[in-house]
Amino acid sequence: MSPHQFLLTRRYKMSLVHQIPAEFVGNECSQLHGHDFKVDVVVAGMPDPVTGFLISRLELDRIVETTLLKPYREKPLHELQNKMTGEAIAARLFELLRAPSALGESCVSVNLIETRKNRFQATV
Amino acid sequence: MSQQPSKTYRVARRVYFSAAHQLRNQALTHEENLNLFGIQAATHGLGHNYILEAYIEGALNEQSAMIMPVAQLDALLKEVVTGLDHKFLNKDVPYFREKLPTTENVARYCHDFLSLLIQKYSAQKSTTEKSQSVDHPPVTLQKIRLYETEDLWVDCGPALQPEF
Repeated sequence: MSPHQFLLTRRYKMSLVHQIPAEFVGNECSQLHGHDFKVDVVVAGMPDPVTGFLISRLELDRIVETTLLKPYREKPLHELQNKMTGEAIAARLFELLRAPSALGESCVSVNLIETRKNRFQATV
Repeated sequence: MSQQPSKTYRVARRVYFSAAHQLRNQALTHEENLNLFGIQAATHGLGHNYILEAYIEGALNEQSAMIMPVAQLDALLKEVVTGLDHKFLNKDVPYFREKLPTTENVARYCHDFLSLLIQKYSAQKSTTEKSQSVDHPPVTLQKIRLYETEDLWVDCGPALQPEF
């Protein structure tokens, strides 16, 4: 991936319920539980000469709300994706934001912070 | 453990400043500004507690075990933010009379200013540092990160990759 001169990161929060199959984890993660996930959406580009923005914050918030926050608020996680690990959630959120109708290729990374102990990144 | 002077080391250092800004393009109508900038177009402006992080890299001086004396880095960072701290950016900083003080443009201002200071610092190494007891090698500015809030920040540098 070519390097960028500007990266803008905006942090959102998603409260999700999940569970990892016991066969893959030997700990409490196999029980139904949840987290206040932090979702760092990273956008690359150059500031627009008129607005000074890589992307309007209102536009970014609208896209993230309609693409991620609302669907994940209205349905339980297991109805939206089969796998519910941090890696799988980060990958799905990144895939959704990379759609041309969302942020497209300007979204270069999604960093998912699950707890103080672990975080995940999906990037190109 | 023996130190390898040929290795590249990175140091991140923070400085804090507080400033007001207003995101309003005079060429646009009030409604267009509100649609584009939301509450940031408020006529009275908004204030933030900014955090500026500098990421510098260089080789280690084995005597001091530093790539650059931290007091000197602090002095350069202070020089960058002195012109911004407790100011109304649109009105008090000439750079922002032509450019809106968005997080991106404030980040660019800080990066370009600090980059110049770091270049001057590194260029002086070959002429003045020889007389001093500890000779620190030149350093380069890898990037700066500017936090406008804890939920919004911008990285600015010549060759950035998304960090993890």
